[in-house]
Amino acid sequence: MRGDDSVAGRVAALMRDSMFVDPPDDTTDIVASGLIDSMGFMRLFALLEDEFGIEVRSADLRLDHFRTIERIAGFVRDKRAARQPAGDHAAT
Amino acid sequence: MSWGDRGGRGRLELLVSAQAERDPGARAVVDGAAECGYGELENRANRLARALVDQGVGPGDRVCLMVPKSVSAIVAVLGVLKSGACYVPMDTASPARRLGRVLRRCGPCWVVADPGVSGLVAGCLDEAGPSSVRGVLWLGPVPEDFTAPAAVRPPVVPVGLDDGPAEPPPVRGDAGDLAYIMFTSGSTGEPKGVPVTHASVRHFTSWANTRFGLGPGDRVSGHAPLHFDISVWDVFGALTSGARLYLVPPHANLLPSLTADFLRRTGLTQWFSVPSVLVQMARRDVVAYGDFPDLRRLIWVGEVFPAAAVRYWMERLPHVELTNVYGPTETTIASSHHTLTSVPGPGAPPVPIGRAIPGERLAVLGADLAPLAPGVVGDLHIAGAGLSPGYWRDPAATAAAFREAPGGERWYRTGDLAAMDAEGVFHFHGRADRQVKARGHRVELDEIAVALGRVRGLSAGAVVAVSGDGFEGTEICAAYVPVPGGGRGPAELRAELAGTLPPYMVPTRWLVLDSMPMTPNGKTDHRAIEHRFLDATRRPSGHGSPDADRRPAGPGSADRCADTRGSLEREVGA
Repeated sequence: MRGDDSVAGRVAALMRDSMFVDPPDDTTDIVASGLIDSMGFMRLFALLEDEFGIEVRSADLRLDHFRTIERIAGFVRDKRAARQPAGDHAAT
Repeated sequence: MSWGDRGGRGRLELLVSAQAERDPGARAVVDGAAECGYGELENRANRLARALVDQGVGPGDRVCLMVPKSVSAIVAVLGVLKSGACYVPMDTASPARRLGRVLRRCGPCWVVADPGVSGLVAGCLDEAGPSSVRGVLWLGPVPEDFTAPAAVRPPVVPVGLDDGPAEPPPVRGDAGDLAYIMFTSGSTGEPKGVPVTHASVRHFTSWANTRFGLGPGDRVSGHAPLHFDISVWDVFGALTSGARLYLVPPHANLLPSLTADFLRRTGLTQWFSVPSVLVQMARRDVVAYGDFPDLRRLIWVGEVFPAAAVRYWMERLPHVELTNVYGPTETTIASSHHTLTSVPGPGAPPVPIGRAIPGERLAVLGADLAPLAPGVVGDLHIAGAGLSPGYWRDPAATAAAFREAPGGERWYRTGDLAAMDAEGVFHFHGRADRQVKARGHRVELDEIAVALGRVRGLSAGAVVAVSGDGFEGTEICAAYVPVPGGGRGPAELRAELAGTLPPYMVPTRWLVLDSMPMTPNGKTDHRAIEHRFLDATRRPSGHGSPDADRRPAGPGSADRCADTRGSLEREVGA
């Protein structure tokens, strides 16, 4: 189990508290299960950018990055890791 | 031999048949890997039409389509018209409870269904109750998992589209018959049916095909779902001109990058879409300079397209002509048009809705149906060849919206506010009522309010719409007061509403209140609730709550909107 302060826990909280969708677990396919649609993705990107201080660029827009909470968390960690060498500190 | 000689002059399916006769091998519909030529399309539609006629379907009847957008769905549309009946496109993403109400309103009717949605069909039949549905025709074998509800046992017929006699049934009906009934959101909580004749569709498609130069070399998008009337021009614009219709698969809509990939891969020459899609693509900057080299025309309808996003598209695609068309379902696809001739500068006013297409009229009229002076904002009315005969089985709503002027002309009151300028060009100024456009769909907020009112655990609820600068589009927002001790959370309520409303009508922002704001005369104060949501939107990120009395249901969604819009402004160079 993840802790709620983990990246996955924060992604799940964002979805629950700000998008009002609550996937049953971190590996549920939120696209196939119809929990998220195109407008939901737009909102999710804005929330992720604000929460984690990352930028979702056009090259990042691949469904495979966003199919599950687990993958979204992985995407966020990769984006933040990529920022570190530039000395740009993401929000905790 | 001319198709006109066989009777039924001007019926849409005959114009498609004429293209099949001209070049049966030409590709007609492309859906991912699946393709269908004009000749094959014609044969399959004939087989379905014969099956429908065998069941007793004919002119004046209604056939509800429960077929996700696909080659089969286009076959179903044509097959129904060939039987003489009209088609009623059903949104297979909507819950059975809502679709069942549509079946009931159309009853007695027939259903043409795709075996892939057998569970939904069973649910709809149950909801519709006995005697609404006279028969279910499956496009393929009857699904093994399909069981009609015990109380409703209509005849069930499998239809093989790929073999059997393909001779067309005799032409029945004429161009004055209904081609379809589209059900839109209704303020009473019941979906409202808008019937449209072959002649009205033909009027628009022949103007539009000429104006935009559609022909056999064209590759045309089929972007909108079939229950959205802009699909009517996609389908009949393409198939009556010999062009190729490319159905946009649902997954291509999920991310703006996938929509752009689809456009590149298909080499579309014409794309008819809605601003909510175009704005997302601009917002995430997925269009390169000179992208989509085959694209000639980009046409949008249904919503205001913010000038900054228009500028993004025009700068990236200087080889593409951009046209705004405007008009409600009640006047058939669109009734006015405006083609942009220059890139709007910063602070430019919204793109006009333009001038009426020939054979239709737009006018800003006062209460007595007398025209208002140019420049004065008032109720926009439409008359002419696109007018629906009136709402399906709803004389009161028809009498309220379709009125006869002293000269005998019928006018449809759109509910939109507009003004005509000195050059005779019309400009949109919002709505006079509680109808909004959300994600390209027309939504009556009161239909959502009725659904919210049926949810248990609330002592009061209200639904409003909030739009910021237009880039995020209109958001549907719900505020509610829980019953004491019955605290149900927004996620739970949202999931429950998704069982009764189509996805685009489910509120995306929520607010829990201690008491519902009321006007002095005791009605829900919608304006005050809008302000609560707007205040939350304007607040800087990460602080405060939209509701000082109580924990906000969604501080993040509300607060973060401000940032989102700011970054879009930067991205589109505003």
